[in-house]
Amino acid sequence: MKHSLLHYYREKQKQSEVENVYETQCPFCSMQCKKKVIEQSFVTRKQYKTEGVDNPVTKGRLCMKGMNAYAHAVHEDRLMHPVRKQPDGSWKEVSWEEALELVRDQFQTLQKQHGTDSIGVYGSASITNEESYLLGKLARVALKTKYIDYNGRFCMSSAATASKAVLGIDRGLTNALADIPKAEVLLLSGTNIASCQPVMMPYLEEAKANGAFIIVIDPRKTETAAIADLHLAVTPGRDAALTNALLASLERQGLVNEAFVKERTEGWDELQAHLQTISLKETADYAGVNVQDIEDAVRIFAGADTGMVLTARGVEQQTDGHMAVRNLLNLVLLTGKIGREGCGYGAVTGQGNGQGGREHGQKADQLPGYRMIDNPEDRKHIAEFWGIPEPELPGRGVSAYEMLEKVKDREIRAMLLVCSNPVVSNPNASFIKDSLQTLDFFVAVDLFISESAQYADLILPAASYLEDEGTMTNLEGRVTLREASKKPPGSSKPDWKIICELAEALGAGAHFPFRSAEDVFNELRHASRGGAADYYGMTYERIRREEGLFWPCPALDHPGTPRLFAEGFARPEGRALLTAVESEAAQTTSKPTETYPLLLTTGRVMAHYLTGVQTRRSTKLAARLYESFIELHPATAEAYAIAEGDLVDVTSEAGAIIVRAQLTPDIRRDTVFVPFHWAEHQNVNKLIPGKLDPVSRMPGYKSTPVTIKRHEPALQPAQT
Amino acid sequence: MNREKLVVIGNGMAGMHTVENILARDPDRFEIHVYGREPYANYNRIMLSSLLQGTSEEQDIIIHEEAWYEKHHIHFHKQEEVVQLDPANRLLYTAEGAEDSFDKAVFATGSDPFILPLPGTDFPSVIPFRTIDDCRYMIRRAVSAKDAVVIGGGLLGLEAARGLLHQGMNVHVVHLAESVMERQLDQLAAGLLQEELEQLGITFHMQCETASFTGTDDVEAVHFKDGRSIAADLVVMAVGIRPNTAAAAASGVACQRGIVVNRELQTNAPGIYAVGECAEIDGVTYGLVKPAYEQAEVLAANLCGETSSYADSILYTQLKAVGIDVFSAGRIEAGPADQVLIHRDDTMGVYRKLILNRDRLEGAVLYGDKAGQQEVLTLIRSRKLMLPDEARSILAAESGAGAASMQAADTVCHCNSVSCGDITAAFCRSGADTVQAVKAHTGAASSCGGCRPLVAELVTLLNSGALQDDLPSDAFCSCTNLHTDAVAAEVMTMEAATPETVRKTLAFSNRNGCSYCRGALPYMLHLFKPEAGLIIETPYPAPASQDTVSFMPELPGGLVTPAQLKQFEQALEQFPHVSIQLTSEQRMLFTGIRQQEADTFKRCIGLAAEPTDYYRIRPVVTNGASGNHLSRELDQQLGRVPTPADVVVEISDRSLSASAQLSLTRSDAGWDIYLGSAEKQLFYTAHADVFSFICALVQYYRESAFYEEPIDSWASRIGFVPVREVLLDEENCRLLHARLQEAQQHMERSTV
Ligand SMILES: Cc1cc2nc3c(=O)[nH]c(=O)nc-3n(C[C@H](O)[C@H](O)[C@H](O)COP(=O)(O)OP(=O)(O)OC[C@H]3O[C@@H](n4cnc5c(N)ncnc54)[C@H](O)[C@@H]3O)c2cc1C
Ligand code: SF4
Repeated sequence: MKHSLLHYYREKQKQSEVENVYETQCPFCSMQCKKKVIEQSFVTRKQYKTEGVDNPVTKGRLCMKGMNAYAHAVHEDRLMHPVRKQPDGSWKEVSWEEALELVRDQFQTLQKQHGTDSIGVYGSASITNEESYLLGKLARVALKTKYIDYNGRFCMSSAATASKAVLGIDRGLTNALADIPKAEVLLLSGTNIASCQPVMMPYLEEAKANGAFIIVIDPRKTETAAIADLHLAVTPGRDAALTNALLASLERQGLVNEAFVKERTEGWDELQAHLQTISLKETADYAGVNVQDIEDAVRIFAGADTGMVLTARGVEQQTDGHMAVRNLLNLVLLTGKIGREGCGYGAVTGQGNGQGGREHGQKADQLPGYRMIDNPEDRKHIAEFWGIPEPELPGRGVSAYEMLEKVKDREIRAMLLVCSNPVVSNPNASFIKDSLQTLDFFVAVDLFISESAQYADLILPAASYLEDEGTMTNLEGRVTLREASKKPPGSSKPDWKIICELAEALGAGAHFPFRSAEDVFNELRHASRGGAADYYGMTYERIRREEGLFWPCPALDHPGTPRLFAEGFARPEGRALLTAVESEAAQTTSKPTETYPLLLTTGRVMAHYLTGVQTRRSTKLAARLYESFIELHPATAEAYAIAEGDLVDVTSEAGAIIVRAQLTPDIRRDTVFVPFHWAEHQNVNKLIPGKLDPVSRMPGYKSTPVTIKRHEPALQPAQT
Repeated sequence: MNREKLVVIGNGMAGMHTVENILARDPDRFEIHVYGREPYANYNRIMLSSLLQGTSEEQDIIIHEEAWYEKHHIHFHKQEEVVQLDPANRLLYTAEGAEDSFDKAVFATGSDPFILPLPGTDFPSVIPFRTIDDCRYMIRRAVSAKDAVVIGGGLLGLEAARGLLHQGMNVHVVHLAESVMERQLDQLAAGLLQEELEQLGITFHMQCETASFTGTDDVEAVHFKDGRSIAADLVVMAVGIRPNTAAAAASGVACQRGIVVNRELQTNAPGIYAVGECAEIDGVTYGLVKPAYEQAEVLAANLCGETSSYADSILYTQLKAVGIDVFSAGRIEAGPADQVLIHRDDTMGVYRKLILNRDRLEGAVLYGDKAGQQEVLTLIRSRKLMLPDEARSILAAESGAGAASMQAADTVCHCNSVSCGDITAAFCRSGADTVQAVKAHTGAASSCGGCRPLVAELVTLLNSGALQDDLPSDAFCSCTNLHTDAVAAEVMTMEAATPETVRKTLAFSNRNGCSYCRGALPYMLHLFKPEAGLIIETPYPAPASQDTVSFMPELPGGLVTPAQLKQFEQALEQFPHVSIQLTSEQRMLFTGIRQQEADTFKRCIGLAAEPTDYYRIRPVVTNGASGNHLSRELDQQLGRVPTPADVVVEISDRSLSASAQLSLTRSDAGWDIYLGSAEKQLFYTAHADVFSFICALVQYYRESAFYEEPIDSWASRIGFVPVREVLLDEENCRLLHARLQEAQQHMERSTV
C-alpha cells in the first residue's frame, strides 16, 4: 500500500490553524540562497516547509540542505536559557544577569592576574557581518585582547592570503557568478561544487551548454569531475607541482599572453627563469598526472578567449595552500584571464558568511573594511573611529588553531566561543578537547550543547538564523540582507545582542549602543569607508531594493563592483604579482611513508554541512547518509583485504578512526577519502596532524599519510 | 474587436511556424490573416522529396489542414497573391484585385526557383521543383515519359533525380561543376555519392553547361554548349533559388537580394517584417528550414511584445535520398592551420571527416553513416574547445544504437526540437502510440522527416513496455478492478467491516474472494482496527488433515529455562509417543500428538503455541550470545502481530545466513541492520535503541507494504532513504511504535 496509515493520520491532522512565513537565507553555504520557511501549527505539533525565493544569484533554487535547514532551528534540543555547568557536570539554567555577571567576574579576574591577552575570542564564518564586526570590536575595545580569530581559517585563508598578495584584494570571486556561463573554459581545482554548492551547478551546466570546456583537478572523480572534459586526478597535496607543470608547459608551448604580462604584472622574469628549470616529466610524475594531459589542459586553457579558475578547499587546505593558490593565480595572469567578461578567479567559499566574516575585524590581523592591523594608517583610522587612543588598540594575534595551542600553554586562560565547533572542525581533535578542558573559564555561545560547548562553564543561548537579521556576503562578494522575523525561543538572543550585553557587562557599553542589527550595520558602513572592502554606499534599504550589492561600494550612488580589476590591480602601479612557487613545499605533509602508505583527503558530502551539528539533526538529511565512510579504490581494498561495507580502522600519526568502506573506481589507488561531518570515532579530523601553512596558518586537511586495516570488532556481550 | 490585425503573406513553412508560435504564446493577441499563393493549406515543402521518392503520401506532408485555420480563427485567403502593400495607409492589394487593411504585416514569401534564361524553358515539361504542383506534374509525367534530365547536381537536383528514378524514369543529371554538391561535400564524399547514385542508375554529365531545350509541342532534347545533346521528356531545373521580393519591393520596402531586415526581423517599414527564405539579414539569405524556423520563433516573440533577436544559424546539409546517408556542416575543406581527422571504411561505404581548428570543431562531412551529427552541430554551434579524443569518439560513433540508448534529454527531432522525453511523455500522458499520433502531439517528424525512423523505433519500444517506469500497477486482486489504495481508502472508513461486507460493498466479482484477498482483506481490516481482532479466512499454512498434530511452544529468543525443560520431560513421560525435533528456527517442535489429546498435552507443556495461521515475524534465530536479549524482546513484542508476509529475522555475531530477510549483527559502530536474503544490503546502523528502531521499521512495513510483499522487496521498492527518513523522525517513530504496541496487545488479548 502506498497509502500508509502514517499518511492517513497526517492528512487527518491537517487542520492547519496558523501559518507563519519567515523570509530568510539558507545558512548552509556561501550561495546564501533566499528562501522562506513556512511554519504551520497543527493541533498538537508544528510543521515546517521551505520554499525557494527568486533572487539574482540562485533564482529560487535550493539544494537538499537548504530545503531542510529549518530542522536544527526548531529542534527540541535548542537551548532556551543560559546554562551553567555544575560541579557534578550537569547543566543548570541560570538567568542572563547571573550569566553575564559570571562572565564579567571571571574575565576581569583572569585579566587582572594574567594580563588582558589572557582572553581568547573564537568567532565564526556563520555569523552576520554585523556580528563579525561587533565581535572584533568586543575583543579590541571591551576586552582589549589581541587574541581573536575565527573558524573561517579552515576554509578560506589560503585563498584569501594568496589573493591579497597577488591581486591586492581578497574577494571570493573577482567577478559575478553570472560571468561563468560566458567563459569558454573553466578550470576547477579541488572544488566539488556538485556536492558543496549544488545550486551553483546550473552556472556550470549553462557554461557547458554554451560550449565551455571544463577541466577539473581532483584526486577523485567527483560528481563535479563527472561533467569535466578533462579530469586531472592529482595526487593529494601536489597541486603546486601540478600547476608548475602547467606553467612550464605554457611557457614551452609559447602560449604566455605577453602583452598582458608586460602591462599588468610584475615578477615574470623570475618566474620564467624558475619555469625553465622545471622538468615537465618529473614534475608531472610527482603530481601524479601524465604529461599529455598537462599539455592538453594548458593548450586549451590558453587557447580560449575567456576562462575562469575556481578553487576550493582541495587546493587551499594544504600546508602549502597559500602558495598552491598563488601558482594558480600565476596561470590566470599568464593567460590574461582576469578583469574581463567571462574571465576571473574565484575561491568558492564554503561557509555561509566565509567572505563577510573575514572582512570586518574578526581575524587576528584585520580591522574593519579589510584593513590590516599592522598598518599604522589603518590602526589610526579605526582607533579614531572607535574613539580610543591608538596605542590601546591591540596588535596582531594568532590564528584560530594557534590560539588553542596558546590555551594549552596556559597563555590564554579564558575563551569566548561564538557559533563554532572546533572539537569537530579542527585538525587533531583530541588536542582541541584537551585544550578546551585546560581553560580556567570557558563561555560558549551556541544553539545546542555541541561537542565543543559541552566543555564550557557557561553556554549562552543564541538565536538561529531564522531569528537573526543581518547582512551576509556571498561567495561573489555580493552583500545580501538576511531578513528574520521569527522570535528567538525562550530567552535566547541574536549574537549581536549577546555581544552588546557582554560589552555592557564588561563596562564598555558606551561603545556598543546598538538597538538593532541595522544600527550595527550603519556603524560598520562608516568603519569600512575607504577600506578595501568598502561598504559605505550600502544601506539595508539599497540592499533590499537592488537585491544585493557588490563591494567595494564607496558612495550611496555607487552601483557596486561586480567585476574587479577591469583597470588595474590593487597593488603598486596596478600590477599583479607573479611568484615562483616550489613544487614541493618544505613542510609538506603529503609524503606517504612505509607505515602510512596511503594519502587521506577529506571533504563534504551533499547532505551535510560543516561539522554536521546542524544537519545531522535533520532526519531528512540523516536518512540520506547516517554514518561516515571511507572511499577507496577496489584495487586498494583488495590489497588490504577489505570488502564493501566492512568497518575500517584508519590510522595516521595523529590518531585513529573507524569508518565503513565504500569501494569506488573513481578515486586514485594511492588515495582514500573520508567526509568530515561526523564526530567521535568517525571524526576524520582526529587523523590530521597539527601542521599549518606558514602564511595562511591553514591546517593541511587534504593530504595526510594514513594506513588502513579491516576493523576487528571487539565483541562485548550485548546490551540493547 | 480591437485586436491588432496581423497579415502574413505567404502560407509556407516560415510563415506558419510564426503563426504557430504566436498562438502558443498569446492566442488572442491578433486577428490573423494569411495570404497564400498556392491552392493548398500549409504543407511541408521539404518532404516533397519523399513524396517523389514514394516514402510519403500527400496527406503525410500536410502540416495544417484547413480545419486548423478555422479552429484558431485564422482568416485564410487561399490562392490569393499579394502584389503590393501601401504601408502609409496600412492597405494591401492582391493580384485578384482584392483590397484589405492591416496593422502589422509579415512577408514570408519564400523563394522562387531560378530558371535559366535559355531557349525552350517555356515548354510545359521544363519545370522547377518547388511546389506540390511541380511534384504532381513529375509523377504524372513519369507514367508516360521515359527520359528525365535534371539540371543542377546540388542537393535539390539530386533529390529530384533520386525521386524520378523511383518513378521509373531514365535519369540524367547535368552539372556545371566538377563534383556534385560541391558546396556541401568535399571531393571525396562527392565522388562516393556520385558513384553510389550511378550504381542506382543515374547518369551524370559533369562540367557540362546547358545551352537550350528543343522539341515540338513539348521538350524532346537538351543541348549542351559543347554541342552534345541528350533526349528528354521531362526537364527539372534545380539550379538555385531567388528570394521572392517582388511584393515587398513593389511596396517600397528595402530589398537587396532578399527583403532587408534587422535581427529583430523588422524591415525598414514600421510594423512590417520578413521571415524565412525571403529575408536577408546582414547580407545573408538562407535556403533551409532550420534558420527559417529559428527566425519564426524570434519574430513571434517580438510580435508578442517580448524582445528576442536572431543569432546566425549553423548551416548543415543532409541529403534526403533513400538509402544514402550524407551529412555535412560548417567548413568542408581544411586549410593549412587545421587538423583533420578522417575515418574511412570502403568496405562499408563509410567516410567521415572532422575539421578542427585550434581545438574547436569547425566542419564535418559524414558519409555513409550520420551517427554523431547532433554532437557535431552542437560543437560547431557552441565553438566548444575540445580534445582530439572527443573528436575521435564522434568519428567512431556508429549509428544503430538508436532509440534504446536515448536519454530523456536527447533530441530526436532537430527541426522542431523534440526530445526523447517529450515523446515518452506524449506516449504516457496522451496515449500517443503511433508515429502519426506522436507527430500530432509533439511535432516530431513533421518537418524534414529525417527522424521518422527514430520516432518509429521509439514508438515501438514504448509500446513494448520499455522506457516506462511508471506503469499503473495492477488491481488489488482478481476479484476487483480497484487498486489497492482505493480498497484501503474504503476499508479505512467503513464501520464494523468484515471481509464479506467489504467484498459486498465494493462489488467484488467473487463474493467468496480469491486466495489473495482471503488473506489480504483480513490483514487490512486488522491493520486499521486491531481491536476487532484478526479474522482468519484462509488457514495458513493449509491445514493438514491428519490424525496427529504438532505443537511448537513459544520460546522467546529460543531461550529455554531448566524449569521448562523439566516440564517438557514430564509431559513426554506422560505422552511417550510424542517426539521432539529441533527446528531450523531454533525452536522445539513436538510431533505425533493425537488430535484428541492435543489440548491436554498443551496444558502439560504450560506454554502458549506459536501462532500458525497468518503471516508474522518468524521466531527470531540467534547466533552467538550478543543477540539473546534482543531476540527475546523481539519475539515477545512482535511475535504475534500479523505482517504482510512472513519475516525471517536473524541476529548473529557471525556470518549471516541466506534465509533471513532482516538480519542484525553487532559491530563496534552499533547494530548493523541488513535487509535482503541472498543479497544483503546494509540498511542502517543503530547506535542507541535498536529495539525501538526495529519495531518502528516493522510497523511501517505493516502499514505500507502490499500484502504478501516481503519486507526486503518493500524496502527496495520504497527506497532505503525514504524509509529511513520516516524512521529517523522521532515523532513518527513514537507514533509507529504506539500503533504496533496496540496491535500486539490486541493480539495477545485474543490469544489469552
Ligand atoms: C524539394 C525540396 C526539398 C527541400 N529539402 C530541404 C531539406 O532537406 N532541408 C532544408 O532545410 N530545406 C529544404 N528545402 C528548403 C525549404 O523547403 C525551404 O527553406 C523552406 O520551405 C523555406 O520556408 P519559407 O516559408 O521561407 O518559404 P516557402 O516554404 O517557400 O513559403 C513561401 C510561400 O509563400 C507563397 N508566396 C510567395 N509570394 C507570395 C505572395 N506575394 N502572396 C501570397 N503568397 C506568396 C509561396 O507560394 C509559398 O507557398 C527543400 C526545398 C524543396 C523545394
Ligand atoms: S546549502 Fe548552499 S546551495 Fe544549498 S540551499 Fe543552502 S545556501 Fe543554497
